[in-house]
Amino acid sequence: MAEVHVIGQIMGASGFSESSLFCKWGIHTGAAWKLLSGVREGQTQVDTPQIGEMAYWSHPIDLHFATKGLQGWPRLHFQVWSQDSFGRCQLAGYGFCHVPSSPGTHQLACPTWRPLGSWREQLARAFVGGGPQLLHGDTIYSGADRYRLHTAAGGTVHLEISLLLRHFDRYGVEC
Amino acid sequence: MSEEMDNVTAEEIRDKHLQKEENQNIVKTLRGKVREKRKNSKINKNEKSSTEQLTDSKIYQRTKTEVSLDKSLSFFILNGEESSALDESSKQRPVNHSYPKCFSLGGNLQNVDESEDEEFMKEFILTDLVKVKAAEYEDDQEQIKKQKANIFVPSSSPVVNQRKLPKDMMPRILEDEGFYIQRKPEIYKKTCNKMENRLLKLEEGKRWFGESGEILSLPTPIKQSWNFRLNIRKESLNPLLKTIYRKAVKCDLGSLFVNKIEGPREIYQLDLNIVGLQFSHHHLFNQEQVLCARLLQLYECFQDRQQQNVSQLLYEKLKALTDATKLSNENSEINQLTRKSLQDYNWQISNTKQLYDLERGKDLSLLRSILRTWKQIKSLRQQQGFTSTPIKLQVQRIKINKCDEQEQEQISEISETEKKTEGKELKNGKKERLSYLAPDETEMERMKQITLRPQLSFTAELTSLSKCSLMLRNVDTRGVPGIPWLINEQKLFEWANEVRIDPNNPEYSDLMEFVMYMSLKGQDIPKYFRLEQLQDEFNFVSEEEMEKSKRFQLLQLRNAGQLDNFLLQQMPLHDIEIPDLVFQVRRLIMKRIVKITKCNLSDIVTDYEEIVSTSQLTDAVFKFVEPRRKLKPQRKERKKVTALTISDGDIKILVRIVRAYNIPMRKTTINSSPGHDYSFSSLSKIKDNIYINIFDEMMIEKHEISGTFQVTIPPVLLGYTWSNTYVFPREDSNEQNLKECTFLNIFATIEPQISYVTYNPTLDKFLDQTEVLQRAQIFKKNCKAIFPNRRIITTVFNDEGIQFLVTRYIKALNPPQQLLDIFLHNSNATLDLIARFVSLIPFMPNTPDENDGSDIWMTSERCISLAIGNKEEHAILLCNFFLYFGKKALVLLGTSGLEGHVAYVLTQETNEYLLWNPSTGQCYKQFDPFCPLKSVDCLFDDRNVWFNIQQSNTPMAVFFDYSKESFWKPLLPKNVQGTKVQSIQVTGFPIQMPYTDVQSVIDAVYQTGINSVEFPQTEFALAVYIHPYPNNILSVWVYLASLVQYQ
Repeated sequence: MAEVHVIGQIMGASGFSESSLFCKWGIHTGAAWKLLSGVREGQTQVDTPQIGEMAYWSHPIDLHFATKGLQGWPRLHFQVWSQDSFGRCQLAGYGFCHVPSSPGTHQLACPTWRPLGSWREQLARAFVGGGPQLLHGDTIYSGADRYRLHTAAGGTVHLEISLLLRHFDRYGVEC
Repeated sequence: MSEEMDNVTAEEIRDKHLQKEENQNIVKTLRGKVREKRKNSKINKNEKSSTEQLTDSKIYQRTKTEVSLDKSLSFFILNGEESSALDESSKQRPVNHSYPKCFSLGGNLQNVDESEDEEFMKEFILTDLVKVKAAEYEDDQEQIKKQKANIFVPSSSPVVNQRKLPKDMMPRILEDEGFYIQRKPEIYKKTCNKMENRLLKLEEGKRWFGESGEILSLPTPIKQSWNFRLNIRKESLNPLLKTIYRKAVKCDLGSLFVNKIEGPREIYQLDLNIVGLQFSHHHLFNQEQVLCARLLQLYECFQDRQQQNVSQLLYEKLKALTDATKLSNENSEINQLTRKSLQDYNWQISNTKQLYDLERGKDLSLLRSILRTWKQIKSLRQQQGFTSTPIKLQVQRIKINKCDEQEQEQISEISETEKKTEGKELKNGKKERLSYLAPDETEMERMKQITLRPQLSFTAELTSLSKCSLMLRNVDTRGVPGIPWLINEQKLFEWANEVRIDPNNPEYSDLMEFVMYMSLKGQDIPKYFRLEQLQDEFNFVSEEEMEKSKRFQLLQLRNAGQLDNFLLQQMPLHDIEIPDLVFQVRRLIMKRIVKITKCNLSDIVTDYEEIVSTSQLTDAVFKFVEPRRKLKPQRKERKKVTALTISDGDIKILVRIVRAYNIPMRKTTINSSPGHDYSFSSLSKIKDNIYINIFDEMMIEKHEISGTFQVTIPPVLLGYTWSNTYVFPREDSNEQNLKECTFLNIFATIEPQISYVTYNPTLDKFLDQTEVLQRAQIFKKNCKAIFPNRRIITTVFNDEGIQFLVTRYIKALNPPQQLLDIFLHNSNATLDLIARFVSLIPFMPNTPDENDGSDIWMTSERCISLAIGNKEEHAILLCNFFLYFGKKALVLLGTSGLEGHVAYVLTQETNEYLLWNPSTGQCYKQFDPFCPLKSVDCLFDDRNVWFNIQQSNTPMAVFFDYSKESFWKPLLPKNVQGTKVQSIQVTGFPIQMPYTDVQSVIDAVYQTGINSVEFPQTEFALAVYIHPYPNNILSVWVYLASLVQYQ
């Protein structure tokens, strides 16, 4: 019956070729985990950087988990979207990272990728926008074989996450 | 000086040598030789010391020439400035260049010494050490010859088996004998032959050969693999990884949450329901199925052709052409034109004939193949002894009357039904006329239509599966054409185990391996599937423990916003600090919700148990004193609880079926004892038929229901029968076949008993109450004082809100004529019919609470015109109808065990009283035990109201003679009767006048003075009729009437 507090923020994203970015995020846990309070998923605002290329969201994350096992440690997954001048949204990258396992404050950088698609789709993406997206969003954080998926690198999502662990030592997990 | 020089040079050279280790070995040997030479030449040197200067300058000169040479070289290589720079250093550098073998890189002087050494080496040493020899050469041919002498080259010609095997032994090929031989590595035949030849030359070479005469070898280690590139693009991607191209859509993110009023996007979905798949071929088809598939295909083809009907068209055309030629032939005059057309006709005829023959031939061959296939199927079915396909072919023959052109279809069925049931064959008239094959004589005959029409149907009876399985054993197991990759492993394994294929058959080697693998693997395959492996093993705590944690529960509740009082408080860190109280309150609330929402039948109904209440338990102490009659337990009075103290879900309804009469029996239960089987098991079977209607009012007032009720059953009860042994207690009843009645004795009560809150209405004082109404109120009050539980209604409101005495409602009313016409001579039947008619009038829903003393009754006329009424209105209507027949009928108010407060109609016959239930139309005698009426409280007719003041009010015990005042208390004394009854005086007349204008009509009405009546509560009636005549001439009729009440 260990407890984990995940407190922090999604700072922003850098390295994306697109400018107006927003992010859909979620946290996925195994069956052993139980959310005591907080929200599992959310969406940030659209940020258009004025100075520099980094988009800042400063989106708070505050979750409280109870767990009966280590399996299925919480993993954060992101979908970074960009909004063009017409207000249309298109995918800029998928990203995923585990919540750190040691208590304290962590600065995380989560690189992202996006599916490349066929050359036609690439061409269409370059000219008219849109682009291939994953049909099943859970592929972002699941361990399915992705060897046939062709992807292109996106930018990086920056996170600042603090972790509080409780009662893990009771069950022989030192932290 | 020279000695010094020598020493110095020697030393220098030595130093250099030490530095340059690469050349050490050569240099050492050289050095030794140099020293010897020098010793020899020392004498010469001393003598020639004068000449030394000369040689020095000579050498210098030589170097100079060398330099110039070098310079010219560098001129070619370098340009301008660099060459000038070279000039400056040219004095030193060239020396190094000109003597590449020079050991020192030192200054000028050293170089001079070295060059001296070189001279020595050239002059003395090299000639001693190096000896020039001619290159050795051997001719290729000779070489080969030499090699051949030593090297053995085996021939690549094939070797005869006898040489490889021991003498007199035939080669044994295991593969032919049925053993499975693993594949050998692939070797070129030539190489193999060479190897064999070589091995044979060896001493013990023969042991390399196996029994088959081939070289022993291990199976090929190379795993067979695809040797083509996978086309990644075309192959289906893992469905999880599928991507979809989405257009960049402008999604109004804000409106996603706010603006949902927008109509749904137009997304259409096409649902396909694939009901079944029909295989035209499958590798698991048996022979019959294959033939069937072929037959179906042929038949389809045939049908297609028939639909097109090319041959028929051609036939018609041909006929028309021949007719035309005949006609033109008959015409005597043959001119140019007709001749031409005749030629054309002939040409066309021959052409069409050809085409027709072709088409007909096709049709025929198709038919023939259909028949052939069908024959094959038939013979196959006969042979194998079972039928596995439902297909059946019938051939119809259509006869064409040759004389008439009109075709008269005379269908003679050649039924080839095959009914093979239980392996027997029953063949019906099997006549196959294949006359269509015979050539016809005349041309037209030959050209006649194909007269056989096959018809396919799926009606043949299949051999049942149980029989099939026996026969299938005998059928050869058909080969599995290679094991596909993705198959149901378990099924295949089971099948392989069942069929028992030959394990040595190399064809099944794959399968056998698979079976082996499966049997090995099967031992540790878990029978369950776990989504998260090893979760349980590594759990810190169990799921239940986590659920139990109070802290977690509280945290979750707070998150869900269900924890109001804890919302702003700090959550305790440990479970111990959390009081249980928080949850107890919640649990109570939850319990209630669950109680209300979850109500299973088992929660409500307890199977046939003695009803035991808490108060009965307390009485258990007294049981020992009581007379013991176990079969007839006595009911005890229980404590009453006020309704206010009881919360939801605490009240139970207890129903006990005491006994049942004349329960219809299910026809299928032959074994059960007839009639009197009223055990629980048989009662439980009839639960479909029993509908017990319990009214709330009844429950609260009576606290328990006990009695025998007739069970309403449908007039025709299919699947049930009545036992004939049962003798009904009322055999003299004539109206109904009472044998077909079912009765139930039921005791029902609520637990705990609730005391009923009696509501005593404080009646408003009516200002315009007449004397009679006042009297009625007093009478009612008095009656209630004597018997508070008995019903008494004296005054009611009519639909206009005016209070009346109930007696005013009773007046003979003639029933609809249609009802009277049905039974003209049977008055009893007519009465029944009328009762039924009244019972069919719908009841008013939501009748107001009868206990508040303010009933609103409509008159009978209104009731029948509105076709709706409450219980009392029904009773009054029935009573009024009965009065029309001259019967003595009264309305009875009482309570029924079934319906609570009821109004019955009491009719007085010659020597008995009959009770009519207006809501069902049934008639009971006074002493009928099955009458649901439980109490008789009040009677009224058009003259008076009587209240029952007898001790008992059950219908059986009541004495119905209402003329006796000791039993029935009348509202109005006998002498007052009649005088108090109101009467209405009607005055009025019609006015007839021609129409001029409205005012003149109104004036005419006023002139009558009918409006100047001085009595209060006068009612008026007015009707106007205008009759039209031609030319807008109108005749106006005005009917006026005033109704004045006299008391």
